[in-house]
Amino acid sequence: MIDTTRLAPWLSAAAGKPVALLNAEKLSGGGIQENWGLDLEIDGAPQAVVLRTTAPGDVSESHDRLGEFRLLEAAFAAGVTVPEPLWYCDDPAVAGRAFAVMRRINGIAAGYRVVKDPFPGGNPAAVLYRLGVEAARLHRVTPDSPAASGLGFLTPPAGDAALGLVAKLRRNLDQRPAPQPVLEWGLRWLELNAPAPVPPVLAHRDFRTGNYMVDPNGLTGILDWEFAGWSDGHEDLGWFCAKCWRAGAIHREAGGIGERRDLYAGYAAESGQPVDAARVHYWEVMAHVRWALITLQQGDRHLSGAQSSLELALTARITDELELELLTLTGA
Amino acid sequence: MDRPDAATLLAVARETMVERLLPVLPPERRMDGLMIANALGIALRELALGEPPPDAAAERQLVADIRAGRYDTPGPERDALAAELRRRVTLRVAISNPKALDR
Repeated sequence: MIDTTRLAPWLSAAAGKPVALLNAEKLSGGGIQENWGLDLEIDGAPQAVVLRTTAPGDVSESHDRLGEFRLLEAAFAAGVTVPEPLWYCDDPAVAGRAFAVMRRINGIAAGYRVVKDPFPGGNPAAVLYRLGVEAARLHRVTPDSPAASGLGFLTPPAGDAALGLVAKLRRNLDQRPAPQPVLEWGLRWLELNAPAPVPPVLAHRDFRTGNYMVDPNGLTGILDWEFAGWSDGHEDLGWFCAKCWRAGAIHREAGGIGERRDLYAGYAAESGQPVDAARVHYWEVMAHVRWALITLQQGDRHLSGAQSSLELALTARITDELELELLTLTGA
Repeated sequence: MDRPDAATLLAVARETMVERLLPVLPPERRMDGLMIANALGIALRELALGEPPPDAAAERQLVADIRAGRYDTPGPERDALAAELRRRVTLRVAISNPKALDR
């Protein structure tokens, strides 16, 4: 629950105009977040917003609400289609917990719905092209960009994003007692086949079907910036096209909705450079190792007693399929 | 079989969930029902197909060797490891999600 009594006065002060709170409804989805849809009237004009706060008991590694807010600001400033960030409140006295407010966008995001036939976002090739354009816009943000001024909280970029992530994943692996030969096989491949490093850019790092919204006219916004950070932009393309992120529609290689060439075409048009298919393949391999480690860690939360959950326990069994694909991708 | 064993109980419990409960669960509980059916199916297949874990010390040596590059060079040793890893993982997928083997 959120306490709404102090909310309208706070929003009025933040907006610099009278704000009336007409309705608040809890929204579904968003894993570890609590999302509320608020119907506001700002100086008499209706405005639908989302209030995002952290569910109690969250112990994840993702950015906190302020970090996410700053990422939305940076993405919005770079011309990426995201819910416009409005205000951030760090005072728990207002609504019980720190929260961020952004404009509400409409559409559907759930993977199993987006990959249905007919595609609920109009023309899938056009949406993929547009997603490529959006990713290229995001990747224009570098640590030196003006848009990056609020991003000091991000882990400083590694000189080599690929090898830096390999080292990080190995450290994570070493914290778990049981050896994982298939993941080690994958990590060695990633170490030996790393592409030449490129200057770091702001990457979404969970860019996939499930994290963007479409309506019948196309893309309405890119969501869930909790894992964004400095990396090789091709990490986003690799994650997007990874088999594990096609919501079961595995024959459509780009996000379960269409062809890679449409995603790549939009990216190339906006960035002015062709997509490096071999580099994307590399980051698809990385995606499988990274996601496999996360699925194991989800299982750990159940096994340790931290959070008894059938969903977490089952998630860890997805690791097996990820390892099978990893072997195939690395020629084993 | 004298009395229903673990596998028998799991199988009939799963069948009961799928045929009797899932159709009448309210929508907000449907995911729980599907997950329970899934978990029971995995448990059943694990009982039928699962193999004991590999020797812990050998496994620790194996990962150390992989990381140190012992299996980098194409050749029979690398091929044998790849084949063994594939064998193990294929068996695990047959247990946790056999549909994934058809893809």
